[in-house]
Amino acid sequence: MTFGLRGGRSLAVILLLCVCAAEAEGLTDAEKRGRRIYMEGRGRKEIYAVLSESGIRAPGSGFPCVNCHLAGGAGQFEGGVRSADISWFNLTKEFRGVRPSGRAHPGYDDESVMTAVTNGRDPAGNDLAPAHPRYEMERGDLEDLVAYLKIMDREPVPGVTDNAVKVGILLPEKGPLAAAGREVRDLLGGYFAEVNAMGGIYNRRLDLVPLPFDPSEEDGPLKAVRQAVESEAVFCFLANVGVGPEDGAARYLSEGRVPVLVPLFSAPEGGYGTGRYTFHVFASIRDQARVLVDFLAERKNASGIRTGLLFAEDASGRAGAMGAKEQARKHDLPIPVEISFSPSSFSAADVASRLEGERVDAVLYFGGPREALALAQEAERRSWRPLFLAPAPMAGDALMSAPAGFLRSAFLASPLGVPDPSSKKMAGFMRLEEKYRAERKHRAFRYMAYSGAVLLEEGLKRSGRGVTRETFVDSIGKVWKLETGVTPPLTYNPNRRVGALGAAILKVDPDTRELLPETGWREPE
Amino acid sequence: MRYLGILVLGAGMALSGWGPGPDGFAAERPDPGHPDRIVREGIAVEFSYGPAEKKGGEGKVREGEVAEIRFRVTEEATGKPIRSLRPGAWLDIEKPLGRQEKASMDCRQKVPLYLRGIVGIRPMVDLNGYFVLVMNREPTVYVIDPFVGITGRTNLYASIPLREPGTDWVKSRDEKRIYITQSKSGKVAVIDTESFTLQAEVDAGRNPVRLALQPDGRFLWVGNDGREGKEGGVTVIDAATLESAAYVPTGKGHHELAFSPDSRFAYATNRAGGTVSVIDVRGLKKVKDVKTGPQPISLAYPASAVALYVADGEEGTVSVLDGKTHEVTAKVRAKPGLGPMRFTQDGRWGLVLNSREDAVHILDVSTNRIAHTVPVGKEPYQMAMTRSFAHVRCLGSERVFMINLLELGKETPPPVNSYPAGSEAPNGAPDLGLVNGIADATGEAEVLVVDPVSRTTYFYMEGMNTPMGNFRGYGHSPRGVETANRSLKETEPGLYTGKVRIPVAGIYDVALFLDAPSLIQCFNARAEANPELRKPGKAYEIEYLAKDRSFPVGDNVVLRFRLSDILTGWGKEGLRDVNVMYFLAPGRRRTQVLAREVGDGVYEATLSLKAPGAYYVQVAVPSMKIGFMDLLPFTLLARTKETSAAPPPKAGNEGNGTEQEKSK
Repeated sequence: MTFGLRGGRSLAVILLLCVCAAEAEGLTDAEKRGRRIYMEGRGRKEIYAVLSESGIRAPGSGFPCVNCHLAGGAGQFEGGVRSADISWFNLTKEFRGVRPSGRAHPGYDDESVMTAVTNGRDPAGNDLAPAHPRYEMERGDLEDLVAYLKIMDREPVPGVTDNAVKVGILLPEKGPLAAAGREVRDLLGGYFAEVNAMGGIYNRRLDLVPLPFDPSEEDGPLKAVRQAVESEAVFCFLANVGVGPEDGAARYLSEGRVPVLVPLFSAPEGGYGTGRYTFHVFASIRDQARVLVDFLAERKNASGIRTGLLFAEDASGRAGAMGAKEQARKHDLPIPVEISFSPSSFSAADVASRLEGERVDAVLYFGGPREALALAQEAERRSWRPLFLAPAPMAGDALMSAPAGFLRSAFLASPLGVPDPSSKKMAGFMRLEEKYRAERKHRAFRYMAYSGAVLLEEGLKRSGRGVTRETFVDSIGKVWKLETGVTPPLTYNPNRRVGALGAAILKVDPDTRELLPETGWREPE
Repeated sequence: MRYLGILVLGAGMALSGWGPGPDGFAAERPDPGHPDRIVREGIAVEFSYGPAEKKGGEGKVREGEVAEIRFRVTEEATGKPIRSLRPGAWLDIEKPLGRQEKASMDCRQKVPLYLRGIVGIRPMVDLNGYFVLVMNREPTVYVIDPFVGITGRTNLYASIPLREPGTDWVKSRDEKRIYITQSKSGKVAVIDTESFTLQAEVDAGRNPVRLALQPDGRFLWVGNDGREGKEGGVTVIDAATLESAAYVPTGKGHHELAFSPDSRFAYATNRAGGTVSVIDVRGLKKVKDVKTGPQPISLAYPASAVALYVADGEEGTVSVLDGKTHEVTAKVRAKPGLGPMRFTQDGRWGLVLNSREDAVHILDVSTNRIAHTVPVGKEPYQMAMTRSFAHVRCLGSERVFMINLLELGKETPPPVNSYPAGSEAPNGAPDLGLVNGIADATGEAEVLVVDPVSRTTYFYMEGMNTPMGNFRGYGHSPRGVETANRSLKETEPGLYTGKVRIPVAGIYDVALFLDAPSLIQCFNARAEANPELRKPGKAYEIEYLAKDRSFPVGDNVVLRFRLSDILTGWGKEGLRDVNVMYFLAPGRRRTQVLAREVGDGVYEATLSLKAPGAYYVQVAVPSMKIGFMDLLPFTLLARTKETSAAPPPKAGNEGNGTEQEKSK
């Protein structure tokens, strides 16, 4: 029997209607509960996973389906184990021979899927791979899970429609960062307009969704973020301004597995792997400290240098000290003197006297600009000329007015490389600035936001039209040496969420007070 | 093989300081009671082998026949099979039967060397590589063992006769079969890639041409091209049962085939009808015909775009069909002359050949724009793709052009390099057909290219200036090239098997390599002599090493020849009764002399050509029961000195000797 053209058309129309209806409706309660089981291993009742290989029985939350079968159910090949494609279409396929799973069996139905989940057998009675856990689960939870499996590969992605990807940006309405936020918003708006003028990405335009908040209000950013995420108004966030890593909004987004690209001037501290969903551009203080120590260790008389570590008792200061010590161990470089101070009770005279008394001739400094300047002046007064090494973002401003003699032996680590104005990417940035900018006072903000936009575009292009938050995060996690023009090339991997992990060493010219590169931008060893 | 022997020996001496278990791979001693079973870290490996072609593994393995090698891997405590391993295995001869010498190196020491891929150190049988399959213009498919080929030995592993020349081919998902369309007879030949024999022939409708397997492997799709503008369609064959599942009429002209990655939809172009037919695989029914331009010439479905891309040769456009609605959502303008189209593995970039522009258009799938157009050779017509490069074959150039795919997405066009595959452009050969004459080998960076003019298949490895090796056509005209994986396959849970043709009788080391737990273990296998192959006069072959055949009359000519084992290629040494008989045609001046041994199976005899005319030379070895009629004869011409405008006497002989030294 053949199928006439007319019939074909009407079938296609029906298919189309079904697809649209499914996407428009959102999830039923059962599907939502099933989704929670799939994503988190939590049902209405307790769920346990039994690992047949070891006999271990563990809470299901440790072994949610999504870990192996991925969002959408397509499965993957990992660690020598191929996890099956469990999209409903694939499960229910008729198939006479051996399937890609290596087993032959009739198509699944609701009951046989439940049997597979609980007993580890396919519809022909074959054992599933031993790596697949057997789940202890109540009937109601099983039904919810099946309900979700049926719609899983058609599940709408928050903030992604047929023709747009919506990207949120948190902007303070007032306060010192409001102006910077406006510059960033204008720049990104221009970037998106350029992308959209070229037809968008996979036939979708990029929409910037500004989410203003009142910085004076407690939980201002959290409220804005929660509203946007719960209403599924945004897919991801880009270049959020003025939201620190300890802010409730940052935690909310991280826990909600919402991708956040390049939060502006929110330090990427906290170590590796803590924020899978957040991507930074510039190195943390800790990694800048590592580059400073590398630089120190390369000096001709490194082994004869007596190094002192001076750091503030705050998050950045401790992070710098930690990085310095970690890298010094790698180089077998002793740090015999270690002084920490509280920013409120810093005495330059005491500290200088102690360091000089200990015959320290290189100071690794991780503290604020005020204390750095005081120490520089005290050293000058004593005619004590140690090497002084500090991250530029912490102490840089102070050194602009430090005594010339002190500057001769002072070095700063700068996570920003020096952009090459002749590069094509940089030219693109300049052109965009010309075309769309309102103001140009916050260059570092604009550089970072721009690099974030390049990263967003690359991530979306790599993810394909079927993008989900998970595939997007995976895709960005594989970016290698992405040129942005305004930053060093960006590289990410599953354990690395800082794109330009490194720093250049700069000097301040004692006469002109300009920053001059002492070394090129480099990654810590 | 002799070169291989020398190299292995050399390496053995260089590494003689190595102790057991190099590279940290320790091995368990086999249980004396069960020498073919070992246990390590709770995992038991049981080795067995037997003839592949006899039921139940009865009988002995014999040289020249196919043996099955089996490793059963289980949990020692529970006996449960351990699945999804990727074992490596090698066979090397420990001791040929009837020979005294033993291999120069311990079996376990050799495995790390195999794994490192050190040039020249190859086992006799590598159960991890691939075979090269060549589709000829004649009705045969050749199976070539590429690794032996590089060492210089005869490398035609098998020859599969077909009913008629093949048109197109495709491998099954597990690579256990290869399907070949035979257009005239309307059949698909099913080849078993373990035994390399014709397993079945399946009816595939009228004029079956293009052949494709849907991604999940369930159905085989065959395009039935309508002749002279008539309607055609596609035949759908169930790959499990080899039964025809449906015939779906699609439209006019030639059909190219593609699928959605989930095997939900199949797509067929109708080249003369200007449409693409969309077929619902679940119901095997056409759901739609989509107009894409006057001459849909190629199509592909990059998963990244969730869309079907259809190139039109006449209009020079690429239509983008949404994967759900199958409506044309975009039309990318390139230039007329478009041909084959392929997408990078990540689906980000499409490459479309343009034979009129001598160029390749590079399409950015994310924006549906032509990002670059790079020039290649004249008339590009075929393409293979590795992870890093697209290799483009051109009708009007002997060179293959490589486009660096890792450089896509940069501002500047990707660099294009080239390497020669033969010395003449493919358009010098007739009937090229539509089968791909360029293919990526199963390795990451290896490509095989057919040169139809010199009837040679080249093996190229990325990074080199020229191909690394080649396989001659053995008198046939190669058109298409493919590979067949020969690694161990999991044939039932926890059982890993491979089939191998045993080269020669002997005691074999069978080495098994497992990654986790890290294990290198050697077992022994024995192959008996095969009387069928060991019939007197059948076990050895002769190769005459003379370059010239024409000599001035009255000269003493030193003729060299090599006697070698027909199975191993090893030279037969130490023969004291190699008789050379020669006579002037038709049978006068019959003379018999004894040959001297030169070494490595090479012998020489001095012939005295006293009268002009054609001489026949024959060789016999009574101790080996080789009579004068058993080996190939050789002919020489003695010409009169007056008519000679030839080079001075003995020049040919000296040339031969030099040649021989070189080849050593």
